[in-house]
Amino acid sequence: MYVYDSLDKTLLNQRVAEFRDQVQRRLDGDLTEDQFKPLRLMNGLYLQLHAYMLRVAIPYGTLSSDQMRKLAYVAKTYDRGYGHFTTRQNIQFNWIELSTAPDLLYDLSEVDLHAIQTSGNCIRNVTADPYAGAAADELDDPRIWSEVIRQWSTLHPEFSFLPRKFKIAVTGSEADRAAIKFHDIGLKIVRNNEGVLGFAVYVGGGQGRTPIVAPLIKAFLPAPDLLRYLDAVLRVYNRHGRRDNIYKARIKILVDSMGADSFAAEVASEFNRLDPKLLSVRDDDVSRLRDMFAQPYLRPDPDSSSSFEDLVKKSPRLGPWFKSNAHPHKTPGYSIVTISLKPIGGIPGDATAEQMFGIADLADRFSLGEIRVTYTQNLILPHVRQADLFVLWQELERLNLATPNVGLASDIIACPGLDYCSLANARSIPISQRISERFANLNAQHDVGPLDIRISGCINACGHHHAGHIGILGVDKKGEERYQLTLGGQGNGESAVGKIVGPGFDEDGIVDAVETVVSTYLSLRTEGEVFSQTLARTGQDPFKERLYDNR
Amino acid sequence: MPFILSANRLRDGAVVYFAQDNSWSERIEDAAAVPEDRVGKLEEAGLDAEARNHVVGSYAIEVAASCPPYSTRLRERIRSHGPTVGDRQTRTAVEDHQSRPMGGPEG
Ligand code: HEM
Ligand code: SF4
Repeated sequence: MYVYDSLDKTLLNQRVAEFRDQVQRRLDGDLTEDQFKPLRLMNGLYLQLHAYMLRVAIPYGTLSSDQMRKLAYVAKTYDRGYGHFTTRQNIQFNWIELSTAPDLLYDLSEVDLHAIQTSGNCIRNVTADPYAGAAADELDDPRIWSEVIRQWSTLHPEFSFLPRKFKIAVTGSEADRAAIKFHDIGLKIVRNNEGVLGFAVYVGGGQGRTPIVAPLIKAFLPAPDLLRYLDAVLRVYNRHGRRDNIYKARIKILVDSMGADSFAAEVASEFNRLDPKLLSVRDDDVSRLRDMFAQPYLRPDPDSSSSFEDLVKKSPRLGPWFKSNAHPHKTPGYSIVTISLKPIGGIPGDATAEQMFGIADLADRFSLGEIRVTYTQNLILPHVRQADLFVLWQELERLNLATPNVGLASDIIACPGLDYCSLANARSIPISQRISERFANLNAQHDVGPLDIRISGCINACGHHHAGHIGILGVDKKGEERYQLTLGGQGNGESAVGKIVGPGFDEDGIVDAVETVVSTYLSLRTEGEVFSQTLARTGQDPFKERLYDNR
Repeated sequence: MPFILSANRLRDGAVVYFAQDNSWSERIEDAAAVPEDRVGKLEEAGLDAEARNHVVGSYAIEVAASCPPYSTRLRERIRSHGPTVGDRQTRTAVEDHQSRPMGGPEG
């Protein structure tokens, strides 16, 4: 893993001290709220419905066990004993006090964690494939390049006051596990015909009010040119992005209105103007980072898989968990294990302090001390020997973290919604809880197969509803919560924006509607067809008929 | 319908209500309710408390004249009673909530 050097540490310490002073001046009345608000937001501190909320960055979704322990400690000490993992590989604490926030940030800084650039119109926390370094289909570790971007974008003076927030995601595999095309910039590591490493660059994706799948702007960017090209994209955006209208301020609107080709042309000419000497990524820097991210050697252990398969046959409960929550590792005999933060009837993405302490210990015992955060609000132990899976599973069961539902109907993404968020129109969490209870029967879920249900409490779309096979959007209709249903979104591998099926539903109605959609699919599917394939084949009509006909 | 005044306390962000005795209380039961023609006065009290850095974002809420005051807006009921999902990730929190909707202490 990346280890902070003295430069990083100094920056962090200075920042904590600066914020401590700002908070004190605010509490003493030397700063007004208008003066203070932008300063607290720059440090990830929002004011939500019930308290301050702190958003802590988890750069490219990688956590060490010590960092996880510190998050658990923070949850216990400064919050009400839990934290909420979000779709942006961040963690949010919901019950923070302003007066103790500087102490909290100081504690986090001891393990190189912070909340810098988790808010505001700057380049936000860079996200990456959570299987980084462990996936068999990976061309290069996306964390290396994410770290390059982190260093370049941290406190970048030119890009600290962009027209709007800016999000970058990186994947090193053909299979997109980071939803890169729903980001302002999505980078896919590729090799050209000569075998040279580089990036396919997608610009102008996003969700929110105007969901757009990012177009390809450059098919092959040689890796050393990464920062020079990103600089050029950001400059074009900074120059032409709409600052007059917050709803049109994201880069997706600019790319869409200019057209991808002319946007790309303008970026290219800006790129040519920029000095390669200043911005080229140096080989020695990359190899230093490559060493840091290189995992200790894992001894291939192919025998362990076969003995594990015997165990699976013997334990009927282990089998489904292995099937949905374990993924092949690049090293034979190892698995990438997903820890579901979606217990039936629970709050998606929430983990208690006890669970976080427990996960940290399990990471030390079974996964080289490493943990990943996924944008689907789950956690991952990336390097688990299959011979250890049975014990790990038992330990996870003990922590109530072994729900065998990854990728299935009850693995729901939900934003905080009206229960916590001051921008919300409707609640998200209770809807997700009721849907997951409706699908509590795991055999039935495994029979339904891969299904992404995603819920947002307002059009900002933090819950990725546009990209759900089944998407739910909370709206406010004359003071009542209503829920719009969209079908056909894709965020996992493929990217597509779902379409609204028809009039919205109330709270009970939306839960029934999801069940109707699923049963319609079951009646329509052909052998081996998953939900998204059936929907693509039949279109929305048969679903609409069943949803609205007998009303 | 009468109005009450609410805000978030500066120090910890807690939801607070302007009370009869000019203090700020975490309990909506303590909120001073005034008729519509005195909302202006109420809002002034809010701005004054903001200027003295006790609270932030004060605003008047229309409520039904019941005890405790009842807002027709779900957002306000969630502010006064806490998240409808409890504040822990357990089944019990959900069940608790179902047995006493919108009420009871958090957690
Ligand atoms: C509770 C405090 C939050 C606030 C105030 C907030 C605010 C917003 C706003 C205003 C947008 C729309 C931006 C735009 O379209 O320009 C947005 C988008 C987004 N937020 Fe949040 N959000 C919050 C929590 C979360 C959480 C908990 C998550 C993850 C579960 C999240 C992830 C995202 C994502 C993925 C997007 C859409 C991607 C994009 O277009 O930027 N946010 N948020
Ligand atoms: S989608 Fe809306 S309700 Fe949900 S967290 Fe984002 S801003 Fe809040």
